[in-house]
Amino acid sequence: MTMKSGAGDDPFADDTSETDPEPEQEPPQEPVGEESATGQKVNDKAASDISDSSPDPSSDTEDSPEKPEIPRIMARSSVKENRDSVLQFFVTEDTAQQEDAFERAVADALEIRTKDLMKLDLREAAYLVAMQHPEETAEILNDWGYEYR
Amino acid sequence: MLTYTTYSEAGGVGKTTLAANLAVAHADNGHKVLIIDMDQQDGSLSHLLGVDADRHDPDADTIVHHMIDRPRGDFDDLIKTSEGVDIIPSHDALESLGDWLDKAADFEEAAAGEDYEYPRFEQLRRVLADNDVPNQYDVIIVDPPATAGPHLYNGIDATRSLVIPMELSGKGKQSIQGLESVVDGLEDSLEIAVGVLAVIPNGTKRTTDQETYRKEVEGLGYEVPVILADRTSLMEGCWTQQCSAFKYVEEHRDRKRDYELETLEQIRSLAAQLEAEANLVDEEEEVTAA
Repeated sequence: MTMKSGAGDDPFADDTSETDPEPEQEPPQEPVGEESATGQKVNDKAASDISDSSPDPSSDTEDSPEKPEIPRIMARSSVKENRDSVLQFFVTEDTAQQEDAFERAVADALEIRTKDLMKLDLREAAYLVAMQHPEETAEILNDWGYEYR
Repeated sequence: MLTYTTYSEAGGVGKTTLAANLAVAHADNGHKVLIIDMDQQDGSLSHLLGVDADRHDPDADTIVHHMIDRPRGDFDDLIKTSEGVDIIPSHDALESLGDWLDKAADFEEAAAGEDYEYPRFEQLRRVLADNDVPNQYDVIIVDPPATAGPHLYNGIDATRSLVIPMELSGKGKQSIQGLESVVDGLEDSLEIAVGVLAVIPNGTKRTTDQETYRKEVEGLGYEVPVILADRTSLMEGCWTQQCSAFKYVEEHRDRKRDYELETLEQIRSLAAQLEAEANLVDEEEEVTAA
């Protein structure tokens, strides 16, 4: 194909705002619904890790894909049980405020009341989700300026 | 409005001197002209017209800063003037244009979400539109480096039309074919139509060659309004004195040479033809008509 002889388009004919939309500056947020499902999976895995240490009462159900096991939150006597590591972390006011919305969204996904969702569980599960997404985590850090390091 | 990018894949074909001389001719015809010098090399149009004082100043505001939306000052303060022509000069930062656009793209795309693609080759046009350049100028000329890349792509997107100086040789013809593939790719990816206003055979030494060359280029389907003869002495004088050919002949030649005056007349005629193509009305005619 040869180039057209003569003038091309008028570069300023159309409104440039149309061709160059301002990207919306939204605070990066985890897509809650989808990720909480992943979080559940992580929790299940964590739960199975714990119950692995308990005697297996059902060696005769080999056809069954999952062993019957006591879920983590039922098996523990307190929310801090088996949580011997304390990771203290400091957050911005903005992040702290977003936690409430996040908590409601996760509770909705679980179809439970928000007050039945323990913050320690929520935070650990969210952290496990983040560990499965190092690239997205890096993106947020880039937004904070790590790209210039 | 007349907008074009002067482009040649091969260097040393008088691209920059042609851009500067056409700009001065447009200004002489009463038009308000803005040149954007996108060539990061030292011997660029900014040097030719003597407006490159800040080229190596790392703290200067530059067109690149505006293109990535991190301006250090007002757009109007970027503009220098020489021989009646406004110029946004070249700067060392142009060497980093590609990297900076990539960084801006990473940033904007991360902030906006997955489906957003940062238009990295539409940033020059955005800067010009945002700063009311189309209303303030009659002619916009972009002079990019002689290599394909973000400088050229931004220039083509901002002007949509090309003026192509070429050496009349096998190399010149190849350069046109190379440009065709670049333009095809840009037209597809940016969804624009690019036109070739003129191909300007430049530096011919023998008049007997000229008609052969003209036919060859016209055979490729492009207008050849003028063929410029080899004027090495005149062009070198322009670079030494840092001025246009018009000013050089006027101020630095003690004796006018007919063949040089003829070349100046050809450039004026070319400028007028390009203006006519864009339906620009001469200031004088406008006044008469009113």
